[in-house]
Amino acid sequence: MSDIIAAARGFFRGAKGIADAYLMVLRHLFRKQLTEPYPEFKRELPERTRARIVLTRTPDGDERCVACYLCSGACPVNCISMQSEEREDGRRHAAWFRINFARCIYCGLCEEACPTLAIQLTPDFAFAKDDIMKFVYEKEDLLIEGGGKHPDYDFYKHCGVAFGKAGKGERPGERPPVDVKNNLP
Amino acid sequence: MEITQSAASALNFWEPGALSLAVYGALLVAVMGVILFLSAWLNPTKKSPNKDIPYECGITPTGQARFQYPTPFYLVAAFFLIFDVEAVYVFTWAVSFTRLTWTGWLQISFFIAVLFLSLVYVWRKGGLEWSANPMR
Amino acid sequence: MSMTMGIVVLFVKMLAVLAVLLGMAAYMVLLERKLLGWFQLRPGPNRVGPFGLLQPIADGLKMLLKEDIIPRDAERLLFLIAPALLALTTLLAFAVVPFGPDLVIGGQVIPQVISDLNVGLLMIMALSSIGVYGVALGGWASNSKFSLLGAIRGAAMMISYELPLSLALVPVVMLSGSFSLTDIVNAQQGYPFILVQPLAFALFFVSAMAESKRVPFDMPEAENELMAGFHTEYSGMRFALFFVGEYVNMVLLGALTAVFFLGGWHGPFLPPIVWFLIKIMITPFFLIWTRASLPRLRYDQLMHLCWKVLTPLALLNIIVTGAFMAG
Repeated sequence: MSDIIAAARGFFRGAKGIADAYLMVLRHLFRKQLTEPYPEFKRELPERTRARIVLTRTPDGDERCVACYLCSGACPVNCISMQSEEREDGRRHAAWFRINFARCIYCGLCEEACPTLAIQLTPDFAFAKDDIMKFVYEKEDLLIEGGGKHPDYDFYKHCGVAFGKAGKGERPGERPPVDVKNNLP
Repeated sequence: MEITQSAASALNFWEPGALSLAVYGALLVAVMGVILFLSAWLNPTKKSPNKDIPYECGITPTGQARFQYPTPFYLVAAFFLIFDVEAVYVFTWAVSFTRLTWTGWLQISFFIAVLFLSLVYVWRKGGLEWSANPMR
Repeated sequence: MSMTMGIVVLFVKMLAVLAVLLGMAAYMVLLERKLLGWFQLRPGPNRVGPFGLLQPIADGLKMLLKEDIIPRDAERLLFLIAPALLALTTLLAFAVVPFGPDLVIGGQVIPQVISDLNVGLLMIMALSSIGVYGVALGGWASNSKFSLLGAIRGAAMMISYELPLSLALVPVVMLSGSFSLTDIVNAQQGYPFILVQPLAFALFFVSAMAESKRVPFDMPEAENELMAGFHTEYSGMRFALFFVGEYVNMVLLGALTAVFFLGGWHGPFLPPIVWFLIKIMITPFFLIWTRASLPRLRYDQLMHLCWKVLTPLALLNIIVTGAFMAG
């Protein structure tokens, strides 16, 4: 007899479980939907979102990249390539700079590696193409106006390299170079 | 007289009988044929040896897929044959139920009891289990 | 004159049934996707046309233009006809389903059924048995292991559930005294059979769910383990035919539930055909709702439910019903 009661209890518990599932699902029919219809509604992405890569400029409009090859070396899929060159005023820069976005995995290691904060990842993730060759971006496509995430930084204000009009230690905020031969205590 | 009448009614398109069923069946076959012809006519065919390989999640399949399968499936087929044939007897009783009344009920109850006993027998013999160690 | 008119009327009737069925099957796919979306707090397809209403047409055109791939070593003929076989049997079963009472137009009686066979119920049973061949042969002929497993599971499951499905209908035949679906609906003039046969209804409904190979009984095409089960290797229009078969089968089971248990076209206020369509839609809605609610059964549980629970209950139900009616 107790077996029958236990079996009946089990039956009703199971039936209640199934009925609860059905009711729970039915209640969802009348709840607010969570979907954001994408092209009409675009969510504001955080500044640090990793998507399309750009090359930024200093506050005075010069390019930041010094063609040190660190981003190229850090890239796990070898999608960055460039040719280093010395400018007429003595500054190093990239003669050409190429990123193959068809290979890029948007890991952000190039941004981590960059000493001059030139290469940066932007939140612009939607740039699909109809041809894979259109994913190869040259320097002209990559360079943008302004400094991206770090608008005020200028590498050559801190590095103490002589080029152009200013020699060593002549820029604002720099001290004149130390004469190592007269620097003994 | 009767034969000609039934023949006439069989050929009557107003009558919802076997003739309309046959016409409907023919129409369906034609529709299926048209659909398959259209798809064969419109679809692109690009042959490639890799495309013809049966899908196995990217792993190259080995051997044929025509192997033996577990006995319980065969047993189910056998039980189905037996029980479905007996269901036919139950149906013949059910359709003439109002004319047979209590006698018919007693007879079919006996029949169903035998059927039930055979089901219990199969059950006790383990014919309905799907493995040697049935998980409950 | 009368005969030509008869042919014309018959063709109009058949084409109307076909159009309604294929349209319903196409829009059942949309309904399912929409409902599943709503159940999961998302809008479902809403890009093609207003509210996604043109989605089925887009899908159909896409399917028609897809390549028809026949896998290596497949049993060509069987592989090619199996989907058509499945779609054909489910569509053919609708020949005996009455959509409404006889119409009288200009003194001519026009029955709203293609073929009112006096063995209609048996024919539907037979056709649903033949439909198993579509699944079994399609899966076997593909020469793919997933397909074969799906086909064997499907065949064993479908023939097993055929038994409680037919036995659950025996009380209906007893109450109406006929195999003709029109007579069965006419016998429910006063009250639908679900009121006197709730157990038979439950048995029929569970078996019907299994017959339509849907969650929680979708072992033949269990995505997580068998990819797509028996139609893994199908593409293009043949895959679409399997789909048509499945969704027409849903409509068919809705129609059968309506005819056998919910009183067919009988109902107050609205015209009979509207009542019938409303009653048809109850079962598919419930099947979709179930798909959103329940997990899948294990295969041995599935067969145990059929052979150890449903079949004995159906047999018992027949005896008890007989005792009540004879007494």
